[in-house]
Amino acid sequence: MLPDAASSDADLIFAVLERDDRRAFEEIVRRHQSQVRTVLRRLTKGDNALADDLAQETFVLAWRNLNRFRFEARFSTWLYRIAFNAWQSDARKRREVLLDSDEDMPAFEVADTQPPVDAASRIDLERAIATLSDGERAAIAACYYADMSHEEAAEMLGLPLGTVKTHILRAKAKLKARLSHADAKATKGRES
Amino acid sequence: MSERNDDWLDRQLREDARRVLDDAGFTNGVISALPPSLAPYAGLKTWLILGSTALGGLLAALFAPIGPLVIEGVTQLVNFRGMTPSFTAMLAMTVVLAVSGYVLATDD
Repeated sequence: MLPDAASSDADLIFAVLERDDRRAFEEIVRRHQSQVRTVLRRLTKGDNALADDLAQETFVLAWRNLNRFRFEARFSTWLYRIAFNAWQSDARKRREVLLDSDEDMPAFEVADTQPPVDAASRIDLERAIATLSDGERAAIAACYYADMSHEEAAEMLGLPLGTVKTHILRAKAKLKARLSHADAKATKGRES
Repeated sequence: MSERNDDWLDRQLREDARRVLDDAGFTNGVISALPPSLAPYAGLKTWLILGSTALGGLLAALFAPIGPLVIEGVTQLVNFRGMTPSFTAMLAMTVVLAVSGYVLATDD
């Protein structure tokens, strides 16, 4: 039987485990690719190529380890854990090479052309998230983009619950400040 | 300038998280990066491990210093001499080998 959109994640997982069904896994990837890639794009400060490489690594690892999924958590949460681990190990490797990189340097150049308003606010948000520290960015990605509770995020990131809450508070304060600043700049630009 | 409060920021973050990214060949890329299927060899693997365990056990019984004791145990078993020390050692070794082989063969 071919997998379809009506099949649950559990049905698809069983099909992969019992029959090595690649079409079922294809449906799983199709279903979750957007969220996993979005989380990784935010974690990698908008480096889309790196995010997609890590997303591919995430799904290949999920395929190899699918028999270890215990159905105790949501499948998406399990996938996000793999994605965060992939990002963390990649970040560790890169830091060994880029020891003198400037942590606070914005990852984006300011675009010359003015994007539409919705796209502009999204890009402002992406840029603002990119300026957060690794811990703050990871906490925001886990709690807002991976839809985890603070407790789940703390467990996944290996941080105390209080630290995750602090990261979220600080990140939100920084985001509000940066977005207000971006908004003020845009208003000034429109007036002149 | 619009007010940047917590609700506004929460809404922006959640909307951004819900945005759907076009697949753009990503799924096909993942599927082609998957390792080749090992399903046809799964049964073969079990028999290879169990066979190697049995062969290893036989070679150990023939050539290891404890070998004569094991062979004596088998002889005593054949002659219905009951739970002698040699027989107990042979039985223990067989059970350990069989369990190890089974665990290895069924471990993914």
